[in-house]
Amino acid sequence: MKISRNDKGSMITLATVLLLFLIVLGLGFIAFLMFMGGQSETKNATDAGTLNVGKKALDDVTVNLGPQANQQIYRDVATDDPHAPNGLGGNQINLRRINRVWAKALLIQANAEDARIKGSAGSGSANATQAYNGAKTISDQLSTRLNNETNLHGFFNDYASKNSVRMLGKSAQIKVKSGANWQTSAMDRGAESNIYIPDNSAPNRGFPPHLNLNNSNFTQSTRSNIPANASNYSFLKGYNSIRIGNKSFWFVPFLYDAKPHLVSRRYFEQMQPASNPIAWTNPVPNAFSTEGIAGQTGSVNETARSWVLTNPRQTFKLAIPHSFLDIQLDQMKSKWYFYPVGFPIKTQERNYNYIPTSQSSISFPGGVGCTSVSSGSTMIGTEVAFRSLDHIIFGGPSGNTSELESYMVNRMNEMVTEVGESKSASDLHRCLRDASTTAVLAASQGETHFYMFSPNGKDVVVRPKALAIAQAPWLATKINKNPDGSERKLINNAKSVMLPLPSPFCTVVPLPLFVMVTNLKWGTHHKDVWWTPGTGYNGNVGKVRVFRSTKVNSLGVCVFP
Amino acid sequence: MVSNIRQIGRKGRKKRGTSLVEAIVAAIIIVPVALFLLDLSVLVLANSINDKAVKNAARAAANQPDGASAWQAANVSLASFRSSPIVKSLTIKSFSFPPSNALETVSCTTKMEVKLPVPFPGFNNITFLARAEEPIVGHKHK
Repeated sequence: MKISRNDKGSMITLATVLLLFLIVLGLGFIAFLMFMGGQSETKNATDAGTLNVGKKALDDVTVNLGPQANQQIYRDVATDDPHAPNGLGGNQINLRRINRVWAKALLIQANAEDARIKGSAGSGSANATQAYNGAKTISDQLSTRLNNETNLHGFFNDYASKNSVRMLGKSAQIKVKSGANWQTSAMDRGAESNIYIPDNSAPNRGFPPHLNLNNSNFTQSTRSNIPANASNYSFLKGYNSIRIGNKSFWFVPFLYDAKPHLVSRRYFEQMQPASNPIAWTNPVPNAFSTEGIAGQTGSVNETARSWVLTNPRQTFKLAIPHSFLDIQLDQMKSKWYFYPVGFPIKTQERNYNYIPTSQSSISFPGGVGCTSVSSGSTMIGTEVAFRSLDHIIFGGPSGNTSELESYMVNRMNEMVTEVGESKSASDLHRCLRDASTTAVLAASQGETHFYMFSPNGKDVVVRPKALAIAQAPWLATKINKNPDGSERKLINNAKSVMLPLPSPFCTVVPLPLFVMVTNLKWGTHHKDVWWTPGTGYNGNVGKVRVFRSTKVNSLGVCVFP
Repeated sequence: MVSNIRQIGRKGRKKRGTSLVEAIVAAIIIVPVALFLLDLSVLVLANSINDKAVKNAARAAANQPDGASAWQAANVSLASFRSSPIVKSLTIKSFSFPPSNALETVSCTTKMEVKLPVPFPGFNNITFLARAEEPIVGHKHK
């Protein structure tokens, strides 16, 4: 039997084939593992880059304020400091700050609308429109910049490139894959923005007294686990039209104290304005998608996408920072009335200040059947002497002070920028009762001004001009600005009996042969108060003007016996 | 005929002997290659696990507001690791968390000690280092 040559080499052939098969299988398995590992590395690097996009989009994509006045008014909110001490603020608006811009525009509009309702809008409505247009221009520009992927590429590369994709090759690196997968979204619609509004301890939640904020416009935190310190906080809603007057205001939602985090593609795409329209024409996005590509030249490339929802983790209060209220106390007058023909005639008007002075007046004839009537010495100014500003504005004769009080408390709340802080009527009166105002008043003469402002965003104080500027230098450029509304009288001739009662008798000199039958003297205090609303467009949120007077009546009657 | 039978018997023994030699030679080549591939697979897998671990550690740390809690979070993220005869240990080799907002990056390097299932001379224990950098999102704005 002949044995073939094939039979001899069969084992070698089999072993060789087996070896090759084993090597191919093994290397294939390793290549697969490396491919999978590379995919995981690419995804991880993309996630890191995307998180950085979410983080940096908050601060590093900016819009410069234009030179126009209606954009420059937002300088004091173009800063991360809720109440920049120098008041200069900044010149750049970003995603962190955009809600501050809208918040200030909203309050200006609210003040103007309240004034319009009461017929004292003046130029406030036009200014509010200007402020709105400025805010919209800034917001639209920011939206455009955030929707331009090239503004985000650098942030992605900063982190993606630092993370290894070595399984794809020694020199493999991840970089941006530009294109249609770089998108934005408007997520968390109807959730809280980072604009805090005061609770009910502030009347009308800090809004002007004749304007109510609809309950559907604010919410508590929608987080499932609300941080304890924010459990009672209320915020304006995001991606929700807040309509005041004829204007819609928009805010970007940022869940309270939530961190920027990756989100699912499904939720991201569901909330994209293209698939789920939003009434905001150019919504400022709060979520971003990215795409990266990893590999090395001549090798297999891996791509990965990721989606991030950003959050500045900083809350601001609905406020007009660096605003002030002007309190003007007109020169007080004593008015002297006599009854020469039976009805009172004012014969003299004299000034008086906050230190009581003895004044008198005489009239010829001054009374029926009289040669003259003299009031005699009368202490004038007793109703204001050594009193605080609170008493000058709200003290007797009081009148109906409720509307004035509401306006002043509202404006206090608009000045305050600290989250969680709100002002009530008792805070207002405490502020106005400041002992220093008594001292200032005692030394003042003629028309006197006080300015109410917040030096630190939390406290509200009232100071005369020089002290106000010393304490808050930012006031220097604003303090002479007038409110843009028109003046309206809130208290019309409130009246009270003169206290302490003066001597009840005047001095009468009868006509020859006449005899005096009466020589009475009495006095009354009077107070008028006006309110001029200011929108805050120029920093002035309003002016209170108080005019006090004292009327002294001297009635002398003589008859022929 | 007897002579033919003897010749055939000699040829049969020769064939069996040749096959045995060939099988031994083949085994000498195939077995080390197979074992080498086994080692290589272990290395690739271990590297992948280390990459994932460092990423988790860095990301956990990046979510914390300060260095102490970041360090703790990074360690907790590795707590689920259990050593085995092959993967001996997984530890944080270096860790950096900036004290303030000035720097915004947390970086973490993990070290993994791997003992090869089939040791080769000079390649008994392999140490893997993996490094990850993440943007810190746990810092509160000051």
